[in-house]
Amino acid sequence: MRAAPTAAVAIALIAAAQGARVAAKDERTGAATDEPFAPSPAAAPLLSLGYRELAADLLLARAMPYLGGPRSTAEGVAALCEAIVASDPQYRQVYEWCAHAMTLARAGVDQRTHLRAIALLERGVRELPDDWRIPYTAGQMYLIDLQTDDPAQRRAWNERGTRLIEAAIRKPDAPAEAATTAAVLRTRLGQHQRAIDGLREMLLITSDASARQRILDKLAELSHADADELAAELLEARRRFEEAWARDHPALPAAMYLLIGPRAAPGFDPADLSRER
Amino acid sequence: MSRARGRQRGFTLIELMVAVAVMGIIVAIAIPIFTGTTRKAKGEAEVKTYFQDLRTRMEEYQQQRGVYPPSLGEDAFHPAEPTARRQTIFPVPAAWTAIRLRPSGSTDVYCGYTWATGLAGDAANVGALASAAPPGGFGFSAPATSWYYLMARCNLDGAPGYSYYFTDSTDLSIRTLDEGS
Repeated sequence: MRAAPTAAVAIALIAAAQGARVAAKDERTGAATDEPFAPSPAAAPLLSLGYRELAADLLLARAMPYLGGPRSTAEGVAALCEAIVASDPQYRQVYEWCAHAMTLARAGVDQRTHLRAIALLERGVRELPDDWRIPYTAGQMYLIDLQTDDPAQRRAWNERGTRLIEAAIRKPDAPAEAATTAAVLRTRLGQHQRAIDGLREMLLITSDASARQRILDKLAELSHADADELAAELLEARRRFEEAWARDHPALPAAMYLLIGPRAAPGFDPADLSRER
Repeated sequence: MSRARGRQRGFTLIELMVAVAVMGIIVAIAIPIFTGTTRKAKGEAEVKTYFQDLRTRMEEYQQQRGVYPPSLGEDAFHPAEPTARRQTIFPVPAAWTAIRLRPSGSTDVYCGYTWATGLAGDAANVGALASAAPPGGFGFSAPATSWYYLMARCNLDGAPGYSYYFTDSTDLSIRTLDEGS
């Protein structure tokens, strides 16, 4: 039994020597990357033995120092992240972090990595439909990170990115002023009327006074109209909308339109909201 | 019988203390490495998020007004002194409000952020760190179109010297520079 401390010290020394040997070998061979073990997305839920959230936490605890270390690869981070969301699809915090983490690995980041990151975020959009940050981040990645020389592909990605940002700004806690960002993106796609429709819709449902004024200014600019006249027109439309809403849904605040109201764009007309049903 | 009892006597206090000490040494080495690399991973993901938000705002501003927002320069990082602990971005500087930067990530940040902008071919606003050739700088030179670059300054390990992150309007990649390396 007195050999126990000696054995512990010996094991520690052997482990340290092994680490030093691997590091020295990497230095000699120029190996600059390291692939961590990550179960496949299909196997991860099974390997968690029912403890899915714990497995996701452990995989995240592995992914973070791996990304922060000097030898991370896009493939390694992506494999860990895909295993995390396969283990616990409701793990809200990991979607955005993982999408960025994949593209920040030290090696192997290319267009495929961005597409995998977007696929992860698109899954997050489906799993967590009330989260505005996931579609917003996905939209930004479509618009900014994906690169192509093919105009048709570029337009398709811009369209998808814009659609995701438009979806994001209609979710709870999303900044209403981001509506102007969506309008700018729609204008850039040549869809002037859709930009105007989106702004009119946001004006009716946002209660943030400063954001409303900015949206109104942007709407006036796009419509080539006077901001005061527009404000009066929309105030009247909002009053009719709220009356109709209160009549049809007396127990629900008007903001619930976002969740249960009709899909407005494209072709949104504020008058539709006040029409008798 | 006495030999059998002799084998069952268990560990001595010294043996336990040595084993605990060895485990303590291993843990003391592992925990700082783990927290350091974890903090770096979180910090870099934050930089990516902020750069994306800033890009979106820069382009929106440019589309609305025809020019990128006024240059802040390399002395205008916010928060000014990044630390190994997160800091709040509030109060937000007027320049951030002007471009309506609404971070999609956390409002507690590891890094400070700034930007520089300029017209086509105009290098007047290009800072020293941006213009210096690698490895001491990012080698940025004003392109033949209106431009901006974004810079983050972080101190993720708490040691002297900053890490800088850089991206610009013509190159989406994020480049890194560790001071002193």
